[in-house]
Amino acid sequence: MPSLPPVPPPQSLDSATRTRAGAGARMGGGLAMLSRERLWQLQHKLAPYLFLSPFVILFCCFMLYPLGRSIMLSLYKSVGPGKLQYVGMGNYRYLVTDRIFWASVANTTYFTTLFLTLQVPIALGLAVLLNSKLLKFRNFFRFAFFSSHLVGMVFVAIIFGLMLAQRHGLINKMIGFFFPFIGTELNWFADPKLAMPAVVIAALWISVGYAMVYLLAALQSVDQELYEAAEVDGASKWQQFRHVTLPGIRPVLIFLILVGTIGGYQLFELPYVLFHGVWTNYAITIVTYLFQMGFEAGDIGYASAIGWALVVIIFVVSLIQLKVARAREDVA
Amino acid sequence: MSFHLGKPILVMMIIALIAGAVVAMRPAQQKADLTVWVFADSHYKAYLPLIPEFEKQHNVKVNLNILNARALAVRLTSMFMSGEPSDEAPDMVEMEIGLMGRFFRPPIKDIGFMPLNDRLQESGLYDRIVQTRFAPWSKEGVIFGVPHDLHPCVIVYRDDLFREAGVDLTTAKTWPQYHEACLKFRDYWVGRGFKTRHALELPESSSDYLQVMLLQRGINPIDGYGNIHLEDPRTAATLAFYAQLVAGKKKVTQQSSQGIGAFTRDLTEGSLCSFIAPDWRVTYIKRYGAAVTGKMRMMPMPVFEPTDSPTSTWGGTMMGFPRSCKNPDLAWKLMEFLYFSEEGMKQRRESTEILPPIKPMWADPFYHQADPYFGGQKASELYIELAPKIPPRYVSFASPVATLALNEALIRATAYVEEHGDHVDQQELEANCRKWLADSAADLRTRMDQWRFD
Repeated sequence: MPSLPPVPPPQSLDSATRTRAGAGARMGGGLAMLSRERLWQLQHKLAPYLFLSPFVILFCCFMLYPLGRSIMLSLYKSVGPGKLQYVGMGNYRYLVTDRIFWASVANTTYFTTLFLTLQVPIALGLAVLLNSKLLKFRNFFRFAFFSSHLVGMVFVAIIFGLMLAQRHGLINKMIGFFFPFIGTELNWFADPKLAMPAVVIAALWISVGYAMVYLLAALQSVDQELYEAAEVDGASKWQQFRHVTLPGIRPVLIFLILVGTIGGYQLFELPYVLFHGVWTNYAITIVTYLFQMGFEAGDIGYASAIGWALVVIIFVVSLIQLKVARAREDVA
Repeated sequence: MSFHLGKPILVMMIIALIAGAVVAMRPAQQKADLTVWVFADSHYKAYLPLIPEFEKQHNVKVNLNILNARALAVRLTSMFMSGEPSDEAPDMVEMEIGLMGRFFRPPIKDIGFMPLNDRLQESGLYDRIVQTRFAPWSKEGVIFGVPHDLHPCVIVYRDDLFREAGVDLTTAKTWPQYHEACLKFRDYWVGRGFKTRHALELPESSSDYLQVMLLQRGINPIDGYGNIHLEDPRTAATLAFYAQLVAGKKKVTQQSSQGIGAFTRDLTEGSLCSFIAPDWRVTYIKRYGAAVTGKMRMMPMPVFEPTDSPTSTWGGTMMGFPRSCKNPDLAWKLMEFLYFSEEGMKQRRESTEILPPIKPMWADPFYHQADPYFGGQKASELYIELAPKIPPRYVSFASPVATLALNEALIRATAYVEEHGDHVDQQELEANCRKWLADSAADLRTRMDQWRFD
């Protein structure tokens, strides 16, 4: 089949079709030319849809339909998608009173808050250090800090499971060495007070380098003339950092906090592997609970309701963050 | 040569093409007459040499696959829930006791496994297997699995270290006496600077071992008919006692680290000097803890009251047959061959210490020999003596939540004990435990109503 010529722009379409139509009439094939003209017009109209269709079809199959179906499922009590009993808002009503769900919300919020409180300053500190002109082997350090982000969550969870083990784990041994009064028997996974901090430590290891790369790029894009002007005005290094650097990297900070919040609320692999999938009140997260309900208890309907509750929580928290950021921007 | 999208994209495309070609050309697993899923490495190794013999006898092809236990359960749950028969679906599945409850949520007619009462009766297995062992694999009297084991529990301890401390553990017949012996042991070793030498392995915030003790008293958090037993006064008393073992001034326990490697290291280094041991655990400690050969001993579990069982049960496996099984008769024959034939038993004895659930098989001389690991003690004979006394253990779709409820009550109880130091008021602690367990039971009841699918 010969390849079709490219579709001409609209202005030239009329002249092109006129030329072709005229030539066709001269050849005595008026009808054939007319249909070809229509075909070209049709192609012109359909081409964008054709090019968009692969994405649209995939989006409908794997995003839109599951989303719609999960809304429907959340209105049913189920044993798998096949056996359903309509309960209306029953799943949502139970969700509001479900102690484990609220424990999972509290744990996830605690994790997200602690994680962001530590991740952003650590990443910023590393980025500032790497941005220093005095530092040698900058690329090496940049790669070294970022490389932890290249490994999978499950791998990290297994490694930290070993590192945090009582008596034999590297971290506990170090604690025992430097703080003998604490000893080597900190039980990170069974002590309710230490469980989420253990997850945060593992999460920081994997994500600080990633945040640092963003912040480093942001630091490098701050206009140097502003620093020169600040120096001329007699600003100290701290004042420069506070009044030039921080406002300059503000959009990246907001982005990192937003992405970190969404990622924090979607936390699953780390606690699931670290705690061996055991149901615990002190380490359960929203997505872990969703998984346990859907794939262990087999209640897909209730799991869908948890999923939609998670959507609402993330939406509300993100909205508040954006509003606060915008309000501060207005004040500034 | 140049590529207009850049070299990295070209390299990625080449890698993708090669990977795609390798995946496409990989030979598919040969279609089999029976597909078996197992999760335990020791079982897999025991069955693998038996498969060719069975294939030869019946002129069939059998695929034996090993999967991670959780992955196996999730895949099977998804297959059962989807309701669509799949080529990948197994004909026989070994299931771990802790993962079984989830399959019991639907009404009996919709449970994904085949009911086996008739087959067990017809084959005579029903009368030969220890009756209480059908409990975990049954719902409302309908049996869905053939037990692979019994897993009676004993106490295994470092005889050398207890002797050195001047403690004779065998005289401790009750749990309070055992606690006293452990306190004496602790004081002796702490006095000599061994701060990480602990008398007993027990976790502080997980109720797995608490449930082992409760089973001794005949208490299942949820029984086979869905009744909740958290409000039983003996549950509160056991919880209060357990909390004082693992917390406060009279603490004599510590938790083992994750994994069998760390646990056996704790054992050989003398960090954990006694522990509750079902037969499967003995296999691992003998394999990885050879350094303490001859220094170990075992004894029946202490009891709370004379009517309690001197043993309990921990862990377990069954063979189940999904309703989509292509050839149930052939699958049943394979199960009998792997579990109860002479060849199957020989393989089991070579790879594990696990006692079979059929009483006449215990007469084998293998189970009556002196064990050098235990200083010449006839370890298997102790298990055989205790095996008929194992209490029935039930599992339910709500078992994980019942465990969670017990964990929560345990955390509160240990916090209470830590808070009160030397002045723990036993009656107040028990009263609090009763209240916490009642709260948990009420929550569990509501949840079971929410989950019930009739």
